[in-house]
Amino acid sequence: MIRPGNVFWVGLAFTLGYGLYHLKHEVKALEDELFRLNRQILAEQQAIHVLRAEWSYINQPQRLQSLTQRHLDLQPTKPAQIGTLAALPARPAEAPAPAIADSSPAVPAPEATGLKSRVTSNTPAKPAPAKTPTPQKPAVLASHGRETPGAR
Amino acid sequence: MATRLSDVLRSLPARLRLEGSGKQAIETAHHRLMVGGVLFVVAFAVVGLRVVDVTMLKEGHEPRVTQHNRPTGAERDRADIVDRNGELLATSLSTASLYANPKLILDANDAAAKLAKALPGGASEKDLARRLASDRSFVWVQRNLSPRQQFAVNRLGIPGLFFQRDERRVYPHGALTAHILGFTDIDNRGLAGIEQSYDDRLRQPENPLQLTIDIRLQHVVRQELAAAVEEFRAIGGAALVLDVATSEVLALVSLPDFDPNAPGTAESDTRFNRITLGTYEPGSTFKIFNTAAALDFGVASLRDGYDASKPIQVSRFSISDYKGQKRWLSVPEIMMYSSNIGSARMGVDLGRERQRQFLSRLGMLKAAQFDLPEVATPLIPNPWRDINVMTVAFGHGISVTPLNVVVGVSAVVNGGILRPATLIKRPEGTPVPGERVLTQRTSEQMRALMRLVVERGSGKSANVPGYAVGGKTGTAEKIVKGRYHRDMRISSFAGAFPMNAPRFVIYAMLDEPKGNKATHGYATAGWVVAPLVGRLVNQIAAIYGVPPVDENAPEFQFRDQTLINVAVR
Repeated sequence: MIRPGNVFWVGLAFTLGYGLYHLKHEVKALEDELFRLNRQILAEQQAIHVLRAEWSYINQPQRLQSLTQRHLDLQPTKPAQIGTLAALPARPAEAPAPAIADSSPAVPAPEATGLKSRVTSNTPAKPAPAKTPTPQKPAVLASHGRETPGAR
Repeated sequence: MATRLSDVLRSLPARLRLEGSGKQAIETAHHRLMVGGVLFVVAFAVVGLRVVDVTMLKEGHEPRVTQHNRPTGAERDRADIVDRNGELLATSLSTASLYANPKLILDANDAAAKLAKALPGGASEKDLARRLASDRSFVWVQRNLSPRQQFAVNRLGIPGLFFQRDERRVYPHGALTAHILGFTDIDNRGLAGIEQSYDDRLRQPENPLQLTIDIRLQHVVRQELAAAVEEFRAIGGAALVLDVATSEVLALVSLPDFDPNAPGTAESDTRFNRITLGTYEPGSTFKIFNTAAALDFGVASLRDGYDASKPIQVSRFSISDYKGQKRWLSVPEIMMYSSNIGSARMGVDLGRERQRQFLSRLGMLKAAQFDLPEVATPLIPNPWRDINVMTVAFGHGISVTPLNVVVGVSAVVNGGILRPATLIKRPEGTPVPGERVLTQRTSEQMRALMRLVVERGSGKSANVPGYAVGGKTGTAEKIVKGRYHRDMRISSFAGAFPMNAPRFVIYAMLDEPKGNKATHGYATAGWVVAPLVGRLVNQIAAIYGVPPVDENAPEFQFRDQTLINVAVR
């Protein structure tokens, strides 16, 4: 004699059993996946680490120097090549006043900035444009490592 | 037979009623069952409550399994070392180490023969055979195999061989940083340099250890120094660049050096750090400190001077000048011409106690405080006799390390604050420890004097137009068997730039340089080391974009006012 109550309980037991089984399998699969990913992350980190060491190795200054010497035209910077904004002549006005334009023997010669070679190689026959106005005070290349260049 | 069991049962009353002792027994059983039942109910209730508690109340959220399994970075047991710009200087790479269980090895001789072939350069076949035949259950075969070697060993298919994950310290820049980083042993314990002194710190692998070294500058300095060592056929050399403001060492080179990746193959003299471990008579560079002391104690002013017309005779010693001017010399001239006689007289004026006290303040009399384990203690005269007062004044009869000199020079030029040199980068904004050892005014005067030496004195070749280099040359003959040897010198230069507001202290030294045609046979510091310093200044300025100064600008008038009219007639 099968009572409906028994059917219910037996059905519930089977359903729960299956549910538990299924869930366990899913969790197991996820854990496997997690384990695999962790392994992979570790392997990638290891690889990155090796690559970083290799990057440092191939960035040896000695090697970079020989490469630049072989392939590039760069030279060590000379002090004369370092200038400051303050050392640049002021921008020419739209209509420069003749008084300013005439009194310009003190225009900082390009040699002083070391840029001469560049300038002259671009425009070989042209001297510095005569209309360059004189800066208000003689340009001093120095800032003496302080914030106020030319401070007296 | 006629009555069946069912009939008998049917004839019994529906409910048995027992009386007397029978009734009592049944009741006892009832009670016992009740107690047992209640116990079970309580136990199940506790388990049930606990289940609810654990699954719904306490750990109601998702399980934390993922957090426990999260990789915490590649497993490493030693931290990286990086330079001030983050460039990798030392790191640990995973390798495989091969070990064997001799009890599982079938044929030790055969295995040894195969292994020796697969691992050329490792242990010899004989040695391997002996080890594989031992009766232990663990012997190392070879540590730190390359992947290729590992593959080769695997292919042999010898039972009883196993790999263990191991770590190997790697220095990508090789010899360039050898004397700074030091090296480790096979078990990654620091044996020298930073690896030794910061061993404990390096065992916390989470954060890299940042040094103050700038690998670009280090390379430039090493290259220029190596060129000078070769040009003058010196047996060694050393150079140091210090940031004046923070006392951070930007470059530290000692030649010859070694490859820290294979420290075992290095000869012992290549492992000698001349900057920190070498004690040398500083020679004339010490006149910086002698003069600074005289100025600081007010014993002499820039307008005073001393008679340097003839050598000083003290018992059997004679103090004379290398290039004697044979006349009265002002204090600036004594620095400029590097007069031993004048310096000795200045030292006598200063007196023993004050000389000693000043040198002690500058840290010249004890081992410099530094981040490397290899630091030598200076050799100081004991007892400090009057003759020592004279010789110490021009840097003889006392031996200090180049590091002592650099830290002292830094204090002299930076306004008078002595700051111990460091190799470990401090976090931004950390105050730099230091103590005042001489006055601002003395520092200014000394800067002017050091500038004068480079502008007109023995250090001319160190001059770089635009950078106001200042410093002092020093040439000391080496003592061989108790006597000064004429042809074996230590030529050095200690200086700074730009001299109006010094940013870098530079020290360079050549051990036993020999003069050549270009130097007319001279091997003194002015000829062999000063040009090297000039080249270094050029490169340092380029790397850090130091703006050139106008040396004729009014900022440099301090020099004109106080010195030139006195020193140069």
